[in-house]
Amino acid sequence: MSSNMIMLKSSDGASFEIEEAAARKSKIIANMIEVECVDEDKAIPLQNVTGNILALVIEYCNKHIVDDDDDVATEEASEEEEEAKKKKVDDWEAEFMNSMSLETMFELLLAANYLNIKSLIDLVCQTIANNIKDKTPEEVRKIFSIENDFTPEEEEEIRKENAWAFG
Amino acid sequence: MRTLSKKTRSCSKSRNQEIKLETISFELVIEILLRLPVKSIARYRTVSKLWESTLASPYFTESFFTISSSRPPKLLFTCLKDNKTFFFSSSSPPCPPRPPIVANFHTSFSINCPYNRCRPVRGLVCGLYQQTSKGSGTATLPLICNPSTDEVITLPRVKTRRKGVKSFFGYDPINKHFKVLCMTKSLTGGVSEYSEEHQLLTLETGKKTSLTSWKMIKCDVKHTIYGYSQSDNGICINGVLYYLAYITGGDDGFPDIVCFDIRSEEFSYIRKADQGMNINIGAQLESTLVNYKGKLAKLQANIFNYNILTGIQLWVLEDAEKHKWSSYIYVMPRPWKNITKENTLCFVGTTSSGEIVLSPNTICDVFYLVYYKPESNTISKVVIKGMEAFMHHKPYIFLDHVEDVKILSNV
Repeated sequence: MSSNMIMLKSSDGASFEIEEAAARKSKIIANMIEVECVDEDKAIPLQNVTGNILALVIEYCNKHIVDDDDDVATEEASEEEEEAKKKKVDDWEAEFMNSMSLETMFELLLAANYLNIKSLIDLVCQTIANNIKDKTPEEVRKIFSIENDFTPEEEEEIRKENAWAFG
Repeated sequence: MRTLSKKTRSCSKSRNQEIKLETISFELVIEILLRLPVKSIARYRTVSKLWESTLASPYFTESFFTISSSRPPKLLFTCLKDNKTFFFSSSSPPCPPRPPIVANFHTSFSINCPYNRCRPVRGLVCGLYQQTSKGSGTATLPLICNPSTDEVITLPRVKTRRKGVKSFFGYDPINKHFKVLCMTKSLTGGVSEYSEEHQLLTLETGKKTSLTSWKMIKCDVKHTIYGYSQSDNGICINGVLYYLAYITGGDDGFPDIVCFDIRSEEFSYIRKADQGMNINIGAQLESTLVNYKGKLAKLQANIFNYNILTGIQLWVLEDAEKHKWSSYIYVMPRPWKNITKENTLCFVGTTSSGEIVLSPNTICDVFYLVYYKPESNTISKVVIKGMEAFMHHKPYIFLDHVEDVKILSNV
């Protein structure tokens, strides 16, 4: 594992030290490292990510870089071991997302999107989906600030077509 | 990539939620919606016009299916009772020791043909509804159903008055077309009557099903389906439909395999292996075609001394053109004897990791699946709850059901 450390700086001025291998989870940062626009003594400024969200992103990357290394080391792992390891990661992710508010999730999603970390986008989208899946259309409109542009008749018709889903 | 507006960064937590959410691009909203259960998606069609059109768009339904396929597949259970076919589903059981799983009732459709194994193809199933009236013979109407969304469309009547109709459902992954193949057999004739009246219907995008019609197709491989009363409705793997059939000229009394290429609409066949694949079916373990890790395979009983069922044979098709098969014979460990004594078993299929799954032929007091793992030669039982009302009825179980949100009228 590479022990190169790099510095990241959040929009509100907080600095974080992170292993290069973990930071490479972000395609944007990996790209910056490739084209050598990272000055070793200077922090990479991330203007769209606040400190509290960046801390979460770094926690996620640190956890997953370890898992990736494990994958290489135990290529011959048995099915049970694979499954046990996957369960461990799933449990960690569930715990990681567990106490997060919907608002924080949206911020984290924006950060993951900005930093281009595919697996984190997937995780956050799935968690948001799990959070909103039982809500009514009205509640969903509120969450996403959407105006209902159906006439009551139109809405009723679509509701009828999908009656089974409203049961 | 979208950038956050400055004000969201400085907002206090209490009032910034709505402002924040406006900065979420619609692409990301779609990413969230793609991960919702089918039922939530159906409900959120009423959110707004944009959402309604987005959720029905081919981009959305294709992406949903891709994500859905990357998850562990679901088990789908079907059972015919009182002239209707009932659909249940459950998650796949985890690794042993496996706790009991619950089959949740979804819906029922008026598929009333017995021996109709409605094998799901990309989340959809096809089954036959038959109505016999005096004077006009039997009307056969295939139904295309989505058990996840409760949606059903009725296809035009099959061009026949015969009752012996067999339907096969397949998907061409290149042109992205679903097709239904039907063939008939005169039930008044002898056993050696051939399958006739091969007809095909393509579900076309954006075309009303009432405007589609059956077309008769030519079949150069003269064959008889392996028992019209058998439950084999074929299996579709990578755009090719396979089913067991007796091919004329190879009359040794044992079935070969007929292939139907969904895209080119041509028939061909694969001969069984020269030795070993001939087996007389008893009550136990009727031979079944399965998708074994993406290859066509046949599961059949391993019989010793004509009548002792010692285990399972797995025949995997290695080369269709050369009719080449590889075979594996598994002699079952000790609990096998008791399991086969209690119930008549049938094959369900194979899992993605190569386990062979069996079940009792009919739903019994304590209904279960049997998972056999060849590598470790071990058997584990998984109890299935939730189908008690269907006692003594024949269930069909599928291990690889993927939920789909496609709106059938848009297929």
